[in-house]
Amino acid sequence: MPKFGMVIDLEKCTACQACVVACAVENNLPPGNINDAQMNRIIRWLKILPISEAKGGIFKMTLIPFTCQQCSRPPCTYVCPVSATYKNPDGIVAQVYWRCIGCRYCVNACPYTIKFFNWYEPENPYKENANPDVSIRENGVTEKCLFCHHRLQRAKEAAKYENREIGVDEYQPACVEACPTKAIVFGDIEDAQSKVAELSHSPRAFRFLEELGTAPNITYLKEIK
Amino acid sequence: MVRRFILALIVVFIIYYFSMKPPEIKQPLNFNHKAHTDLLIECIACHRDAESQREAGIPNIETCELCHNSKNIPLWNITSHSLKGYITEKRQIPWERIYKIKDHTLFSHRRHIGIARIDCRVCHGAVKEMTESIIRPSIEFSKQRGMNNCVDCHKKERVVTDCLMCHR
Amino acid sequence: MDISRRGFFKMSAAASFGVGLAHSKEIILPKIDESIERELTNFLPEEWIPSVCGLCRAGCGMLIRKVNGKVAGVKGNKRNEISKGALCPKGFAGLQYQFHPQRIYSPLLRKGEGGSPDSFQNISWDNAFDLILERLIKIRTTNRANSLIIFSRRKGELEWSMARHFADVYGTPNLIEYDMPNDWLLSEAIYKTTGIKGDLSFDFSSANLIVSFGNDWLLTYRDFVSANRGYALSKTSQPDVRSKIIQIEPRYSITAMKSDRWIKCNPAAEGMAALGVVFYMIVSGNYDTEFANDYIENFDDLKESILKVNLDRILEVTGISEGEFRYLTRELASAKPAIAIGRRTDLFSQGLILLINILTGSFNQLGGAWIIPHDAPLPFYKTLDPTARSGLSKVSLSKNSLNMINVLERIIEKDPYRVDAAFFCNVNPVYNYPGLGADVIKEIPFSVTFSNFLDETALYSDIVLPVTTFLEEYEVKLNYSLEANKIISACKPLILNRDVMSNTDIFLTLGKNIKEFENNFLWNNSKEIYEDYIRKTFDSDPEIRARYEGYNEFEKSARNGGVLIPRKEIKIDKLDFRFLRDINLDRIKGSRDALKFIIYFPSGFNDFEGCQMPYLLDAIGSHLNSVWEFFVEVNPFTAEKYNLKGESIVYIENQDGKKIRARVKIFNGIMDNVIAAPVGLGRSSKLGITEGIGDNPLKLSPKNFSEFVFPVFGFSEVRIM
Repeated sequence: MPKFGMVIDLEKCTACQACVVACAVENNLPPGNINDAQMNRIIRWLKILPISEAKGGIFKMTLIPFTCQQCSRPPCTYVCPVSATYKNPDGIVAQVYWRCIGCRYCVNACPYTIKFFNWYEPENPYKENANPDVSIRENGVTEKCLFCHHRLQRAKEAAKYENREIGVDEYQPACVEACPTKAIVFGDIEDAQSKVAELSHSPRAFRFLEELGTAPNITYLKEIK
Repeated sequence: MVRRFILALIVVFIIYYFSMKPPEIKQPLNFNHKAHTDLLIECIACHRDAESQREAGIPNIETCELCHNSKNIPLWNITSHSLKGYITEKRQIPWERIYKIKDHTLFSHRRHIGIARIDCRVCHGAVKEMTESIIRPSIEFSKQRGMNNCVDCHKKERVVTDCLMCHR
Repeated sequence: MDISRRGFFKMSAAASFGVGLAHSKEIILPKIDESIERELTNFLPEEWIPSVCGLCRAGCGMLIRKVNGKVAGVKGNKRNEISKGALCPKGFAGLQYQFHPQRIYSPLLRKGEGGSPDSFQNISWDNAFDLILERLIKIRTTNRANSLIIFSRRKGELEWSMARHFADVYGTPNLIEYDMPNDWLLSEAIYKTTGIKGDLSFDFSSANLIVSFGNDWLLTYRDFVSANRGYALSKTSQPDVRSKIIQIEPRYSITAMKSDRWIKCNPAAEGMAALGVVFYMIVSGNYDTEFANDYIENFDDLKESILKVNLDRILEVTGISEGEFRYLTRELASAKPAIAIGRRTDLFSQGLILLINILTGSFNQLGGAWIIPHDAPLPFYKTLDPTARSGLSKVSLSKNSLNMINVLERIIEKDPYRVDAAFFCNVNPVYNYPGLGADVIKEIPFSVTFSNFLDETALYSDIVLPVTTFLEEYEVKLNYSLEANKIISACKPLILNRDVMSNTDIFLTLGKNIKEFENNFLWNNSKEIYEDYIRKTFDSDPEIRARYEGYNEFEKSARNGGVLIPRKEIKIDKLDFRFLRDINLDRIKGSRDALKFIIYFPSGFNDFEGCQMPYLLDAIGSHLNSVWEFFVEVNPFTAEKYNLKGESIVYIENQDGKKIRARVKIFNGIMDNVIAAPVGLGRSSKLGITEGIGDNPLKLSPKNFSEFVFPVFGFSEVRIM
């Protein structure tokens, strides 16, 4: 069973946010409105995290595409009272919306604060042309990035139907596909031959909040400076 | 007080009882499945996407026309008047959809027919014996048992029971 | 009401039999395009159809997902030569544009005051054409055909060549290519020095050094996806060489974040910075002498006049130290190929930046800046009647200038003549040039806007015609890759929409219904024009003819991924930089202590549009953790000086008393005494959930500008309340 992971090269990433919009379109995220924005309730599974530092009078800012870190030991799954969120066999931290009771324990347990709660009835004027592979979440459930799991389903199904293995490029989340600079690399991190595995051992590699023991599967590569 | 409570209970029970039975749906034409399958026409001949797509597909008028056309005189003569109308006017028959899957579940015919090779009858019941249009979902896919319909079989066949594979 | 109005026209035409208007018969509308209807109603359960994005000039390849005939997704087309499988944020949000709830689907007639959406009423297409044709014919009978002005962007070749065809046959020299200030980077300087109408295409992917004078090129380059891909390639294509990026700008933009060095420079002084660099290059002799002598006419004279400039004044105006200038010169001299990129500002700055490209010796070669010509559209066959000929002989309102503001000002001043009617085809001057745009449109007695939305310009015009989006029309696109190869791509409608018409179809209908020149419009609909244009393109280029069997095959590959035509050598004689000798630094004004206000383009807003797409509103302030909000970036020192608190609301007023309201965001990445605001918000038009959010910072752009300060990219002196 492959274990999926992602490497984001911050040297190549230009924070153009094509991935942010591609993710929103692919996963039928609510467009949001001004009230949501003021209450900090805009839902974007993938968003830009600005990190700034001023060392020796030189100001430096890095914009980091930030999404669910798909931890190997995800803190959010331990607190779910109904097993709506769990680590699935593909290495994806799953969220089953129909099972979720909206207690928001997982939202609070997530150290990366990258799980979102639907506070309102979905108000999506683009419902008619939404992606049919992904449901439009109802109010009262928590949602998060699933590594575009519906694409994995599709790829698995097609491969099995044609009686073959899944090709390397056959399953790619929307953000990976969207990136103009090819800064995001996705694949099976347990396959030593894969590019992701190679890059995740790069000397530039780092992971967020690793000290908490979450063992995230998203690796970032530092900028070369 | 107790009386009122019992009354309320009865009302709830009645509503529940009636809601169990799916309502009948009126179809625009009377389609005789039996007459077709007796001629050894396979389900997939008309529901052409059942093996290769997520949805099996409701046949369009062009599919009907493959056999029911004015060149095929013996069949054309016994074709019902209303179907003739649809065919000559090249109008699609406005079939009502019977099987609706909830937005939060993903069901793929390809997985079950194309890959697992499950007989249509397992879920859809004895459609082959039906002489009238389908007006309500088959009892094999009953509403009362809900997800158990799926899970029992998935467990028996030892296929994936990961929630995420079917829920979205 | 509609019917009676139409009836009235018929009656009046019948009453004045013999002297009746030429169009008094039924309006001939384009024939319904049956082939595409058949194609689109015969769909597969799921398919990906190639198309070309029409939201900006670049023309990236898209794949549109259709499930059961309904559009349900979009991704990049890997076979496309421009975008190679990626899209920009705006491209991904394209479906939000296409299916926007506030899109208009019926022609509208203004009955009341301009500026309010309530004063419009729906009319039929017949009715709308009746009204427009009546005006057009009246103008023509008085032999003032030249007083029609057509503003259009050249996003697609088909609509542009059709507009050209109509303008010529009608007899107006005033087909104005409406430009966004950053559309053409150094076009004015190129025109002035070489006489070629064209632009520079920068080969980011193989450059070793990219020096940008105030251009946030990662976000605002003509071709977003290519610029970003070029950036990544320049960092990684060779194992040992990493390109160096230097950004000269008052603001810590995205490009500055990704750069190796950010040099702070006062607002609108990037041209002066370029002058400083040229000065130091010439003084130190750190330039490609052979190359410069080859390319520059009277180089010695130019050197002399540059050496005469007052260096202290440059240091003062730019705020860049001598050491930094020396560093820049050193880098430019040691790295080859190197690029100097500026933005579409005043002529002097453009000229100086062009000069740096030549001095580094990487001009017009791999890894440097290529000249790409501004190709003329392929002409359709036409016969001009005397009215058209006399109209075309008049001087155009653009007077060969590429500056939009000059054109707008001439309309108000009625110089050299009055404008009687205007068509605004998918352009929005009222929003892009606040104040000026609204004044212009009020000055014109009859204006028609072709638009997808009831936007700001539409609100002031007399008739609004709803037009197709890029997914609903035939179009041919032309663009140049980073290596300056020409790329032709084409697209067909994917969505049937009978309520709207493409620009091409509107011009066709207008032409077909004016008797005097209807024989110039023999096509039945835009599909036939498209086929005609494809055939013309095929015939015009021997290279294409050699590569493809027939024009059908050519059309197919243009539609599936674009046809690449390798770069052709452009013969350039010596460049004449004589105009640079007139530089007089004393003319630069601006006090040191004044608070200066500048604008910037957030990701996806590079031609001021984008507000229609709610997903893009997150991108505006992501570096400040701000979403869906209008703000000004203020340096902590400035904030302390003016006693501003972060997150508080302030009003900013310019010298003319114009005001905007914004939230203060404390940001270290902005120079002291400068405040910056993102452009794109503050729409007053009908745009649903994004309507009325924020304010339009363009309101503060100064009315008057010198040759050193371009209004949009200049700065305005403001005060905070």
